[in-house]
Amino acid sequence: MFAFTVVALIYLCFELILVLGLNIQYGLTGILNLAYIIFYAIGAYIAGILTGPPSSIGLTHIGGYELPFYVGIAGAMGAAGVLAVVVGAFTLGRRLRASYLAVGTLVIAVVALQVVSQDLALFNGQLGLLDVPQPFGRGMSGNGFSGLYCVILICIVIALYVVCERLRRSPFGRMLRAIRDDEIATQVFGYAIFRMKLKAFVFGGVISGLAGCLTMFYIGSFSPAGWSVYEVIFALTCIFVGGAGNNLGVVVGTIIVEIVFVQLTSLVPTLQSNPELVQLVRAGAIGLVLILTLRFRPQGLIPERPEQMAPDGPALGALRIRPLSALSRPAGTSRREKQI
Amino acid sequence: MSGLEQAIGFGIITSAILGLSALAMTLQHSITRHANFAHGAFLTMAAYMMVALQPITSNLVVEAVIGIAASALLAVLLNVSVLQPFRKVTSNLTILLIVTFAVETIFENGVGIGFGLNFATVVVPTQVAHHVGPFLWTPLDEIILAVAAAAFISVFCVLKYTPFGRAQRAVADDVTLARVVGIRANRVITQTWLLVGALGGLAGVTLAMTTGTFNIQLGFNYLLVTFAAVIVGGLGRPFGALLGAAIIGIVTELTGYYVSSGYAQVGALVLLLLVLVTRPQGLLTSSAGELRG
Repeated sequence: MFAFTVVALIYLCFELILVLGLNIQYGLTGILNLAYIIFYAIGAYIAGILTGPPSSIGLTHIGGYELPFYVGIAGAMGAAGVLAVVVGAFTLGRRLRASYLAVGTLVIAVVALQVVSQDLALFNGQLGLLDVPQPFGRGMSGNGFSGLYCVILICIVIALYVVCERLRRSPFGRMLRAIRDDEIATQVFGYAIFRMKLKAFVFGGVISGLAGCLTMFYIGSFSPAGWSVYEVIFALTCIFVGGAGNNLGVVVGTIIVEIVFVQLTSLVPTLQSNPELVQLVRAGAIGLVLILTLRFRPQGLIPERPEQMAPDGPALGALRIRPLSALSRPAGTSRREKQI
Repeated sequence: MSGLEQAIGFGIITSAILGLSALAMTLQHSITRHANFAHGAFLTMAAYMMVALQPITSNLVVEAVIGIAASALLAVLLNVSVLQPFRKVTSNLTILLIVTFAVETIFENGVGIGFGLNFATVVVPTQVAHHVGPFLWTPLDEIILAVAAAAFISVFCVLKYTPFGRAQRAVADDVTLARVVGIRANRVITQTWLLVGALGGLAGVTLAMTTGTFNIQLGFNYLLVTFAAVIVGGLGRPFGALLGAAIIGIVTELTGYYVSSGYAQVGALVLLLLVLVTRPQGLLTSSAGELRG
């Protein structure tokens, strides 16, 4: 039971990191990036080829340098960032409106998946990378390593949450929300929309790459089966159930969706006659939950608070100043008396 | 050399099927103004309806007609039960895109629950290929070409000359204005969805018959090449959809011939990305004013 809980927590942490990154792109900035999962994939693959063994029989790929794990993490995040710059520059510029952006990113995701699954020399095709070593603690027992990894992951998630929350409250975060709410109005104020969006896109992509790299280190293998486009739909469901744009909301949403749809359904016994049934019902149910949430509670369980409520937001700041200035006004000059 | 001619011959058949799918998507886009990721469900519906009818009848025409009808009903159902209620609560196109994607997920997995993840088969009588000019076609290919051509011509005639066609173009242009002049917009929209579903279903049955075996991803895989055809040709233009389908169909088969059959789709999708970046309004459309949504 303990081992089950630890493994469940580890997978929850992977999903949390992934969803926090997507929330920067979709929740804060309003970019519907259906190619989000390819940054996760490149993170995992780059970490694998930097720290994993060289090619052998039945395992052909580039690299295989057996470097220390921290090089793997840096390389994975760097590669995801570079890929995000390229994809973002490609899709965010011009007049790529909602439909075009979604179609463009979906096509990029599918092309990447097809090329990687079919090109044996790149990342071992459909079978994917195998035998990537544990990043540290080589002598530890399986359970001991899982426990340690789980603790580290929880720390990473907490740190990432704090970073995302600070980002959201920063002037840059406010700007992203302004772009999301009304891109043209923000542009009218003279802000460089494209650069802002690209920054948010890269930030989310790097977080996705980190999630991929951490997944790779824990499982030790990674294949195209792990990054279909439906993973993005799953992450979007987590975001909408919790409350798009609100970090606390998406964390709660992820915990709920992950526990109900992944952990609880993994306890359902597999039917001998139809082994894929549980998996299919789960995938369909996620689509249904997504539609029902968008229809009946589009703001999510914990809605994003309007800007006035933010303790350090400019609007409340203005509200706080007004009574103060009213107090400092000389007696007899209040607005009410002026009107008389 | 004959290999190249054969590839072009296959490309023409691919283009004909793709043209049906692309025409359906163009009509749908003209009234919804957003991409429909559930478009593949129409094709999957028709194809799997044929699979389901195989034990009952071996008459391919009956199977195809029922498949097309089922797909047309699915399209109307999608509009009435999902898209219209959402239109009332949100005007955010991104939300509508995600909704159509979720519909696709539900539908695909529902078909998977019913039919399993293994490949399904539509049994077609053995075809003997023969030379038609430089191309190598089977009688089935020729029937598909004829049916597709008939469908294109009738859709264009309907759009151009019938009262429904005039009303449809008016609604596609501006729903509010169409309502003002007394067009019953809702009825026109429902009829358009029927037509969209029927064309998508026709694409689905012809695709099922030419491929023979397929799995639940049939529609979703075809969705992307349909996007490619529609966007390359210019969204919202029936003729553009056909031109785009012709280009994408030929490019697909040529990539398959010159590179490898596994990369056939990749060639078409890369072309789509190039068009998205350099000329997002498509090849036929001259003004950017048509770009909405």
